[in-house]
Amino acid sequence: MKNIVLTRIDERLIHGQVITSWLKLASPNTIVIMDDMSASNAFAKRILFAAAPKDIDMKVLSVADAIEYLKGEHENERVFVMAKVPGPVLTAIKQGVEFKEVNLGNMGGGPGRNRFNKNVNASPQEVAEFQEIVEAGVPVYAQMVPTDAKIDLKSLL
Amino acid sequence: MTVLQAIIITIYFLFAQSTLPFGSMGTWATIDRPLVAGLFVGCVLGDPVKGTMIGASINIITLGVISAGGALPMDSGYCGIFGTALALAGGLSTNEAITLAIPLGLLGSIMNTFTMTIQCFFVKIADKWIAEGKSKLVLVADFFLPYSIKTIYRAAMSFVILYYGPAAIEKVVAMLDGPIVNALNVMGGMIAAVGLGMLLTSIFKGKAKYFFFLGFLAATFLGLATIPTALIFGIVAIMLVGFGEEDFEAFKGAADENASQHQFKLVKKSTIVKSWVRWQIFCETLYNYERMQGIGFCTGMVPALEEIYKDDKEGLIESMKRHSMFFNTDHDFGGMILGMCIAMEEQKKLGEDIPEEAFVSLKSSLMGPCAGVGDTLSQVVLIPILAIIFTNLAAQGATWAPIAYTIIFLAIFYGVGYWMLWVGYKNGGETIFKIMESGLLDKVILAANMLGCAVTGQLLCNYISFNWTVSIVQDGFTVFDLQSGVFDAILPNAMKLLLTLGVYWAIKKGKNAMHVTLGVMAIGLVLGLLGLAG
Repeated sequence: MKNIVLTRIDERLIHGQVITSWLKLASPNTIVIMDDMSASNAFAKRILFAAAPKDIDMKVLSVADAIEYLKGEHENERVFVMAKVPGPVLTAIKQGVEFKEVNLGNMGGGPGRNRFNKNVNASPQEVAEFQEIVEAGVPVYAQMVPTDAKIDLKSLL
Repeated sequence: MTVLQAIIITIYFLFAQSTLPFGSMGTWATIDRPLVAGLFVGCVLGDPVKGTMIGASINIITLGVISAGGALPMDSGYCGIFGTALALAGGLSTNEAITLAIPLGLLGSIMNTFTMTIQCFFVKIADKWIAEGKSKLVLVADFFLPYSIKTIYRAAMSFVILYYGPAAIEKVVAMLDGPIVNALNVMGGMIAAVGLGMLLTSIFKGKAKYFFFLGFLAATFLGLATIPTALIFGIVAIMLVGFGEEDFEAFKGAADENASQHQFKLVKKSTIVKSWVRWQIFCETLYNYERMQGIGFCTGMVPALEEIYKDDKEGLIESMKRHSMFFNTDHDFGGMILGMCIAMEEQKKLGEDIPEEAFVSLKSSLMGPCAGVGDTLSQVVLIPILAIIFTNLAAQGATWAPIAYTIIFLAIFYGVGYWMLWVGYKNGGETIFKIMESGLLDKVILAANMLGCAVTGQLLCNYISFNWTVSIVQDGFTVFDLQSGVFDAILPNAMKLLLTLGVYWAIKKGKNAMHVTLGVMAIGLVLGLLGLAG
């Protein structure tokens, strides 16, 4: 099992808050993106690689491959796991990946989604997935940037 | 303060909080900053030099404020404009002005959350007009409607603060006696540590850490001022990072690769520029929690879309719909994405098979990574470095410094942005992706972090004031003095260094920035009241 230093759910994956704050605070040496679309789309993959700092080992993997990687033997990785939505994280938990806690950034509004908390919009299915993550004993907290207060999702579900 | 003065400053405040005259980022990074606002408020209140100096000091506490889509712990406009105005009109010292700026900044932060929440309502109106194909009205929903409401409550609040504030402050100050006045000054002297500590959280990394301590030592023992520190350590940073010709390869030759075959077939060059200007000005006038810059992006696209789909109402509606979805990125990179989207819309209309998903996937793949690189370049590299240099000059009374800061920032920001628009439109962003892949930007950021750290180490010596006033006096002779006998003898400025690093560690450990600010103020209050510091 790899050493996971931070897990974040954010629709934008790598973006301003991640580069300017989270990477500095968690100082990971590996980023694992769990997203089937990004893993299969050459353009999305290229842009993610282009944006990541060059001293970080970047992995853009499908959910299944990411789980396999995370369960692999620990060397000296400090892994920052990112997913767009709760689904991949829940799948990983079900398959035995251990997360200390999950940080929740931004999920945009759109058809089928309701406003959940300031920056988080979720469909009923996504809300149920968050519920399951919390029930599995992994706390989820909404916090855009490290200087914001943490909001425990339990209080919102 | 006279009614006229309060009205003039209120008008300035309304502009500073809007996106006019310099665009969304342009206005926020210049006239909304305490550095620039101090000069203006000083001119209105008859003391430009003092206004500039107070504004500059307040600016230090906003140095670490980075807007990357989250709630800002402090609103720079409220701190700077009201802070300077109330300090000048109420006759406060610089440190007292800084203390006052904190609650004002907090008020601004609360107001921003309120604004972003109520603005979700206008998204519904925008959606309705988009679905009906009323492209002319998108700007009304994105700008005129929300601003008519925002202007009313902002103007009322600003006028009340400015017109009634000074008298209230004078009354309060008259009631305060020795220890409380001392405490307010101690607090104000310490708060700069919050701004600098927060700035460190984005630049104190890797080798740059050494530069922080070097800058500190250079200021403490050699008495080096800000500009020489910036120049010397800037050159050392460039030397250490080592830029070679190969780093700039990406700029060459890529210009015509992937060039669209259909350039300017359906849309005029001037229309693309118009779209870009609208994006820069209106991208965040309807900033809200549901779509962020979504409707703003659509507002930018409208002139180009109207021209591309001028005889095709269905096409116009569909294209406006797909460009009003959730979107959030850096403003200059956003201009590049706008250029890419216009080129793709043009090709689609000319018959190329570009499915709806291509746009969705392009924008959603790009917005995050581009914000990551763009926010870092603009808000961790460009703004802090320019602000540090010019704030330092302004703090010494140079009234030209805020103007020079504004002009240089706007020239760089829009110069780069305009170039990026055409890289986006003409070669699908290829040149910029190559630069991102080349590692050049990492080098630039590392060098800037080194320079930033050195100057932060230097600045903390000048802008934080803290002195122990603990001493033992026997028969009229001071036999022990904590400040001069211990700290100054071993490492002068040591307390300022510890305070800055303390703020940095607290925020790094996940403490809320507002709590840290209040914590620092509480420590200052206690030490000041007890007369232990002064």
